[in-house]
Amino acid sequence: MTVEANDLSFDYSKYGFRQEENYVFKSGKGLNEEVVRELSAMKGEPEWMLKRRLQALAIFYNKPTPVDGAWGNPDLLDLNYDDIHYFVRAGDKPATDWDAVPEEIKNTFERLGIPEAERKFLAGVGAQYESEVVYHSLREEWSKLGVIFLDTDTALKEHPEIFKQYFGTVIPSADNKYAALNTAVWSGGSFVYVPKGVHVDIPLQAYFRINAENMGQFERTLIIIDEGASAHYIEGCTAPVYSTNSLHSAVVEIVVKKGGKFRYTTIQNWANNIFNLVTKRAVAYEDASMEWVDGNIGSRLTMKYPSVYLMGRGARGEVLSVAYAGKGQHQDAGAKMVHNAPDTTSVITNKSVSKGGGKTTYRGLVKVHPGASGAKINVNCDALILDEKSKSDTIPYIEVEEEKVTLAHEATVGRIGEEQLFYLMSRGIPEAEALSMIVLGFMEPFTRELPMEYAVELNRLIQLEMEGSVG
Amino acid sequence: MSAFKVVAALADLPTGATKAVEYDGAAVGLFNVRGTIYAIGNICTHSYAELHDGYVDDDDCTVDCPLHGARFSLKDGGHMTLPAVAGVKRYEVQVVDDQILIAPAA
Repeated sequence: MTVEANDLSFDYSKYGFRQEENYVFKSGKGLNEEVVRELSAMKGEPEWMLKRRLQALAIFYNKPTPVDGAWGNPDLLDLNYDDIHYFVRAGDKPATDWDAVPEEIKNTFERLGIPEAERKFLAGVGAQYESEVVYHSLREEWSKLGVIFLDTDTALKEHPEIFKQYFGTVIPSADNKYAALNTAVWSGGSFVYVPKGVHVDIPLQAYFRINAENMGQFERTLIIIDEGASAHYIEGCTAPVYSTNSLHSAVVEIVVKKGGKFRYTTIQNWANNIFNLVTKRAVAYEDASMEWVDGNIGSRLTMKYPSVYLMGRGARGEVLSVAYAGKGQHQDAGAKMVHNAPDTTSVITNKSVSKGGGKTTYRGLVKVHPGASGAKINVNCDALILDEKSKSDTIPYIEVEEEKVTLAHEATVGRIGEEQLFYLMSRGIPEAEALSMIVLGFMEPFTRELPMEYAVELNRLIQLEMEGSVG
Repeated sequence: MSAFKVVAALADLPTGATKAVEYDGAAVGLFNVRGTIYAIGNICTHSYAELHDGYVDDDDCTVDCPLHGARFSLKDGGHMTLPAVAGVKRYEVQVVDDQILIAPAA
């Protein structure tokens, strides 16, 4: 009995599926100024947004692909920008009730379990199908409280002042090549505004997926939590199998004002030919709390480092993430914490599993600026490697420019011990189940933070992956 | 208050132009926005880059760092977006006899 003999292949056909493609509009392959102008005109955007998009396009062209350096990856050279559709529109406009959603799209959501969840306790659902949000609902009482939960395109039309005030202030176009690309061609995503002192106690949820070959998805999310307010936002993705490379490049900007609390939960489960290049950043002011809960499964290459800029005294940031890399996959995930005020606290917990030749990388940054005295930082990275072919790297950058700081960094890497397996099997548990139990147990600190239906889904995905892993 | 010093000729900074100069060894960026000249510290506080090479927004009177896009106000040097978490120094500007003079703002 050896762990090496196990073939833990990830069979997407078990839950990946495709519906017939039926689009209102699909741009040609490739990116140029005309595509950007056409996209902006089709959406009826204000002049300033078109200007911003065109500037970002120029930045995208000028910035080199980050293949080396501290945050580079040579696999990005395989990405062919000319072989991607940059804008696909699935429906005419966002629908506000379930009956108005096209039958075919509804079928997809039903397979994903959305109506069930809706009936039970989901309060607001923004589901992104392709590049456009097609379904939105928000409980009436929240609207009365002034909570805004819209797709980003509608928010730009209905709330232009607040949109312009915050758009691009957390992640400027020039932040990195893919933030520039997203700014040039963004479409869809969620916009959330929670007014002062309002507590949204039921999670806001957006469920989206990609369904077209070679289609890029560039959603843009902007969330503002005003003073003393709190909310929890959840997004999850599944994607069917593709024959050629596809690109997902999102930007998520979050502002949590004084005393606000916010949690952003993601489970991303991409097909294993997708480049998943996401920029997520939050800024937390005095006594605010920002938590990223981030699960990454699938994709060919994921590069994602959720960040929190702690800008006010007593601000708190947390990143809790898991990554699962199978054959041909590289999960390059991590976190960044920037302390710029006294008595700020951050916690990074990263768990990764690699198997079948997969690779996981934890890449993180902790930066403490002068004056951020009393900062407390705790970084914890655990990697589980299931066979000889798989790899795991831990690359933590730590820059501390303040003397009064408490920083702890802990990293472990290990394999499933034969003793653990032997013990479980001696209790009558079959090997496959025992393996699965160990992996689920390893991920438990993450799954226990998820709402029930997401925890169940994640556990099911892992169990599917472990199926057929023995013998 | 520090003394005003000549750092450039007005002819070298036409409308819309920018220029890197020094004041007592400190790097300063000059910006001519619609005929008004602004002077701020020229090195981005986030990561090393010269702001005079960045994008200037005439309407908002701001400059974006060319490296990661951090935005600074040309009027007071304040940082307006991440990833910068601190502003740059502001300089007073005078134009005398077609020469541009600057001095650190109080």
